This record gives sequence, structure tokens and C-alpha cells, in this order.
Amino acid sequence: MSDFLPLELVSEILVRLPVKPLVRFRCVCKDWFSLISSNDFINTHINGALDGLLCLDPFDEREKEQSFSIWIMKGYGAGESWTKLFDIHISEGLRRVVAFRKSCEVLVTDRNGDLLSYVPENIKLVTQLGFRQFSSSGPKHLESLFLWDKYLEILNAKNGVSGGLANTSDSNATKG
Amino acid sequence: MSSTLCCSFAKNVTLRSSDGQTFEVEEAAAQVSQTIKRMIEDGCTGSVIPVPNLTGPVLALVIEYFKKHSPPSDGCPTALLEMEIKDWDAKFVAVDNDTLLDLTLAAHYLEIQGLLDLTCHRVADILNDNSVEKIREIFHIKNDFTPEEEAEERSKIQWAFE
Repeated sequence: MSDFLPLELVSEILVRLPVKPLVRFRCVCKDWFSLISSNDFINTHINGALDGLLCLDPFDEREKEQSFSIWIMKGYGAGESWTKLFDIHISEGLRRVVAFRKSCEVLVTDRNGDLLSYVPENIKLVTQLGFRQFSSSGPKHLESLFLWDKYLEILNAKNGVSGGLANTSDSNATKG
Repeated sequence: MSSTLCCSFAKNVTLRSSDGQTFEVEEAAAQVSQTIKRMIEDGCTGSVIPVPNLTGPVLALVIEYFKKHSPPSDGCPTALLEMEIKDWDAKFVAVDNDTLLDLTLAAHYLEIQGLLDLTCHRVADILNDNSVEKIREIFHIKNDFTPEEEAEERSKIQWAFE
């Protein structure tokens, strides 16, 4: 009886797996390749977080002008679709990006570890939230199937920005 | 419908597998399956309910699951009971791969959400650390890539094989 599992059932199983085995399993057969590469599957897999967009916040500490840049990958697997949304300059006293809010604001921490809400369209509007980030565990990463292996190539080609990589935030500034 | 109103004590239904085996089970237990529940509501209780997608041994296992997961007659399940069921569930899906996939399919056909979650999780756990070749073996899948296509695809995602 188990010679054939309907693809919808295969999908139900695979959606529970982390990214690495999923990418590997695209080589199982053509049906699995199409399934795992499909937008529907990818969206189910990341559960609609960030509206299905991968975000990065590379951070370069070597430069004097420290800044975070927020990048998104607009098209699945399309390296050329990496787009820089905006920069967050460290001169604002911001230390690291913690999370993105649904309202398009960005949660950041300043040097004292206080949480701030940052509105990208209006860089002056930084709201003290009155909380402190307890960051022993660091920010959460959410794995998604959006291919990130092209990211370094693209970034390096554009301006040689180095830094960590994550889709909601990054742990590259945790040494303080 | 009217018959369900007049007598609330345990009533049985008979289920028949694809290979003709029949099983009697309490109606309330069988209704753990949404598919069977609908059939009962549509008035199939008088006769035998056919379950053409399941062989006898698989249907027997599913009925074990029904019995364990039928709503308790005395109201709310206790925390202790829930823990016991969780343990039982873990043992229930500790079976060979073919049986596990049969149970997954059965949960799918019979719309048993709890069993579907349970089996899909178990299958995913098994798949997680396995090679592409082993996955094909488990799922009885024929590789329809040419060796060149597969080599090319693998070379693009080498990091996933490390």
C-alpha cells in the first residue's frame, strides 16, 4: 500500500523538516524537486513570516561609519533580486537589529541594551519602548528555504559588505 | 439520525477492510475518523462500512488508535490520562517504515488529524538524517533524474550534503 504516497501527503511530511535536509531532498526525484521548490511549499514552510521575504542585516564593524543594511530577496532563489531596503546607522546609537514588526518598524537595541522601535521611512522617529532586551539567548533565527547561498556573491559584487546573515536578525553584534 | 437520539449507550459499527476482514468497534470510537463520522451521520450504521483503502492489518492498528483516542465517557480527560496517551502514541508509531507509511496514508484517507500529525512527525524525524538514496528506498521512489541532471543539481547545493 505504501508504494505511493500522494504528493500532498509528502508535502505534509516534508514541511516539518529543517532547511538543510529539504534542499538535499530536492534530489530525490523530479516530483519532490518541484514540490520543494514551489512557492506554495516554501510559504507554508516559513509560515508566512516576513510576508515570505528573506531579510538580512549585514553589519560591518571594521568601517568607521558603522551601519546595518536591511536586504530582502524579492524573488525566490533569484540572487539578482536582492534589494537593499535601507540602512540603519550606528551613529543613531543603535547597536543591533532584534526583530521586524508587522507594522514595518524595526526593533533595535541601543548601546545600553534598551529596546527601540525604528521607523525606516523616517529615521528620526526612534521610540524608546521602555524595555530592556535580555539577550543571553540572542535573537531568534527563523530558517527558511529561500536560498541564501547566492547572497554573499551578490553582496560582494555590490559593495563588499561583510557580516552575518539571518532573516530576521543577526547575532553578529553580540560581543558587547 | 433518529436512532442516535433514542439510545446513548455504546453502539457498535462494523468496518470492512479492502481484503474483506471485518472489525466491530464502538461508534463513538470510530468517529475519531472524520470520514467515518460523516458516513455514520449519513446513515451507514445499519450496514457494514467499507474502508477500501486499508488492508486488514492496517485497519486493525487504526482501530487500536480509535479505542485509545475515543472521547472518555466521563467527561474531561485528565492530565495524567493525556500523558499516558502521549506515551502510548510514541510507542504506537515505533514501527517499521512500511507500516508507518501505511498508517500515515490511513490517517490521510480517514481524516484522523491526531494520527496524521503523529505519523507525519515520526516520518519527518526518520527522514531528517537520511541520505537521498535512503529516502528513495523508504518511499519506494524511482529516481527519474538522469545521472548528469542529478550531479548538476547536487553540485549547486553541495553545502546541504556536508
